[in-house]
Amino acid sequence: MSTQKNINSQPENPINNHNELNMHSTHTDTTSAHTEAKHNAKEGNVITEMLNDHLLDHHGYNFYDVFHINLPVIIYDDALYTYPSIHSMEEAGIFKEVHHDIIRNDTGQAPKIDLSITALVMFQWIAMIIIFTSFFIIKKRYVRHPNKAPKGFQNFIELGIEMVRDRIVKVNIADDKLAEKLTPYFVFLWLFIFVLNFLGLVPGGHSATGNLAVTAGLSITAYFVINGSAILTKGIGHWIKEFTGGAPIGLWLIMIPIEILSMFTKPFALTVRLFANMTAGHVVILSLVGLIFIFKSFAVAPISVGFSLFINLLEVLVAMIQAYVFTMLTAVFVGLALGHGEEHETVH
Amino acid sequence: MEKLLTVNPGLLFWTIVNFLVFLSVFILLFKKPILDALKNRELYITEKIESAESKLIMAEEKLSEAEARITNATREVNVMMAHERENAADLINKAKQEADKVRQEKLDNAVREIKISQEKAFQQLKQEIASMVVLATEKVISEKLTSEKDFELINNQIEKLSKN
Repeated sequence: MSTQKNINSQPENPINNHNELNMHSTHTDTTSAHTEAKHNAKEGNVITEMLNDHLLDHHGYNFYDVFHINLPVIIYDDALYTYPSIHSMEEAGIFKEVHHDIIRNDTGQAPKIDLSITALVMFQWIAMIIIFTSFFIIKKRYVRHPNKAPKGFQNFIELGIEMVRDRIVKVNIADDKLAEKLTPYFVFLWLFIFVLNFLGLVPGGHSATGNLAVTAGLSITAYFVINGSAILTKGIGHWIKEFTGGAPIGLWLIMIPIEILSMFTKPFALTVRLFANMTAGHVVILSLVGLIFIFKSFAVAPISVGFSLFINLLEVLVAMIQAYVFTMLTAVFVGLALGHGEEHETVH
Repeated sequence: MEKLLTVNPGLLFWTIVNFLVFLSVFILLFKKPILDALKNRELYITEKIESAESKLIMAEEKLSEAEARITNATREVNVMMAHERENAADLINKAKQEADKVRQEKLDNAVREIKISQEKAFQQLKQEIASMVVLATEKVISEKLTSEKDFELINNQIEKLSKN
């Protein structure tokens, strides 16, 4: 996917349009219906910008204008450029930021690769800090009292670990040794997605799993785990044989392309499912809140806030379910890649 | 909104790197102390359960043995008690018979002694009466008797006799 984009061709900043809009609204010429329609369209742009601000990635983190964290900018174009923050990058004069994208000042083109540490990368680190801190807390007890019953927070972590191991990994991966080897991966995958999902529900937080690049990254690792475990366990010959789907030779012409395609559709489905589920809730909530600004009426507020609260509670459920679903489907795909698909189908 | 549907290669790269690095650190730091500890604890619990089950079986066997012993002992005790009851009843009967015999003997002795005492008393009474008759006769003979004096003399002797 090319990142070369002409950012200058994009419309102007809607916030500036909003200011412009205010100026228009104070204008004495109020008779034009066309102006009103334009006004509403630009209000919509403000809402879109608000959605973008919340859902898209940023080259820094701003907590309700209370504090701001500058994140390093790493760009590779004609050479490698590194800056401690987006401001120092702009001060250097080679690149500038327009609508959350970095472009070259001279050409107006996006750099070849933008490897900057963005807000969503930072949230992945925060998720890691949370996970590692939690595990360090309970680790002591496992070392000191390995055979004693779990207590307090240890119960919660153990519940998650045992759920992933016993209800996701063991039931889907028939090979016990492989299941045991892959358990740490699945536990970590579940925890990582679980914490990232919940970070999106925290005030000021961003849902990293509501970004296609993040879910694609997780799916790519899942893709290698699915196919890698099949090749390592059954051998490359068996893995290739699975492309026939166990069909007679006459159907191979149809089955092989389908199986090859399905090899890629599985991680694609994982990517889109998690992204769409995590984004949808945020879009609905922000749209409901946006109604207040569109209608400019306090009467809408209770309805909007009520529905937003309901959707937010639903999001808590979605955050848990999607972490489970992603992990479960990855385990199912590993199980299918090992060649147990036919058995599962006949059983059902 | 179209930006939402584009994949940022930089973020994709960092996600994969982060995930792999953190997964490696996670496995390195926590697999052995936590995941393996969980498995070991499960094994420990399974062993304990198996051991407890075998002990339970042994205990049940011992319990059934003990119950059999108790049943036998109860049966023996019942037999012994029945026997002892019979013995006790015999002893009581014998004791009753002996007591009746002793009582009868003592009663017979008492009756016999009373008869002897009565006979002795009659003998003494006879002797008394005889001596009084002699005395009265002596007085009657020494005095000139009238019918009134005889009558008074006899009455006095009879009163003396009744006082004794």
